[in-house]
Amino acid sequence: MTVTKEKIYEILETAMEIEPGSLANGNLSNFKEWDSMSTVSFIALVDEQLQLRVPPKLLFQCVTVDDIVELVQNSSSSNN
Amino acid sequence: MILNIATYLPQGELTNEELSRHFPDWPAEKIFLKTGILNRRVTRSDEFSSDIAAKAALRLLQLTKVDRSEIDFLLLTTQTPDYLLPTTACLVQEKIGLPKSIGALDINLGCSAYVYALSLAESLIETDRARKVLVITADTYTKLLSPDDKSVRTLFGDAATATLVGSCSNQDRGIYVFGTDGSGAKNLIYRKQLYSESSRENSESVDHGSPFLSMNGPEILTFALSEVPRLLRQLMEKANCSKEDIDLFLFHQANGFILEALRKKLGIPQEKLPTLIDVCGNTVSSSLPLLIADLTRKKVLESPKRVVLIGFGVGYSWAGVCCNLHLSETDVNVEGSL
Repeated sequence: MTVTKEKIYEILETAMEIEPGSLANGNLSNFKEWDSMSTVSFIALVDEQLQLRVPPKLLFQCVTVDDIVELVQNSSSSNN
Repeated sequence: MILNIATYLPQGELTNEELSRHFPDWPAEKIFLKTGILNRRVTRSDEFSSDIAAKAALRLLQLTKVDRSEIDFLLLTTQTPDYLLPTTACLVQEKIGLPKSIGALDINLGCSAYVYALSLAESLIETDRARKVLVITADTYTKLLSPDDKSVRTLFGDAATATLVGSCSNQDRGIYVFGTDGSGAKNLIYRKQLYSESSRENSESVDHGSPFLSMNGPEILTFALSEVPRLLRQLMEKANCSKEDIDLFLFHQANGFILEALRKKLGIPQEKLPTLIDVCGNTVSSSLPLLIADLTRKKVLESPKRVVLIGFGVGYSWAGVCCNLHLSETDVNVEGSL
């Protein structure tokens, strides 16, 4: 089952510690909250809540918020 | 089996308040929230691994009153040796007055080192090559850190421990699982080396020539979240038991965030996964013996416990052991501040 964009936005907001519902698509470089700490938080939250493994190398290559959505939707299970 | 443990933490301290003065965008509370660490201990510029190793070992010898002639081997785990050569274990043999008849060697592993050292010590004893083995852990990672790299300065602290390992009955013998994946080497690395990077054909285009330790936090987390659960599964299979049979899960104290992520993923109740990260940070090879010593001091191990010890990290290297631990307060010599 594909993970919804809304769910991934929700996790990103938690990782970046920003107001729920406040995230919109855009260039990641415009978000000062998207740093090494929030990246680590995001990987852990996706593993915990969605049981998916996001490869850090690909996450670093994401340019926009929606690139991350696409990456998560195409990620494989973290339980094997 | 582990008979005794002594610990030594250097006197220098690095608090979150001090770090947040250097990194104003990271308030002290945020550092604690993200790492679970309040304070780290730091060696002086003239204090090296052999110095803190000797201090821990002398505290152990003072505690146990063991005759030095009963110790046949010294295994010292460090990734911050005083010198590239000679071996730090040789320096420590002289510093603490162990007989010339002992075998002494360094083990160059980090977060997994203690489990490897316990396994080698047990093997030396089981094969009658040693009666007692002194396992020392000593790392001074703070000497490798860039003052401006907040991702590592907030995590690592220096420490040393000394463990006396003796013979045990068959039922107390540890069941071990090991693992290695050198493809992760670049994700936690100190690149100072004897050859120039350009002399290597096919050298990778990452962080060449940095004089400081470099860590890729997201990659390390991903490694831990995939490899530690697999290691635990293998260990439970080999030990023919289930997670429910285990009283305590003692994991390398990487940082509070990784430990909590692992705990949730593995479904381990909080009370079964104790931590000791707040007062000393990630002390690399010393984190597991520090944790065992702290639990002993708190009388948690007064009645025998079935435990799992897991080390994982730099290398990548990992190892786990399922064993019984039974230690009373008088078996350890722990500093008051720990």
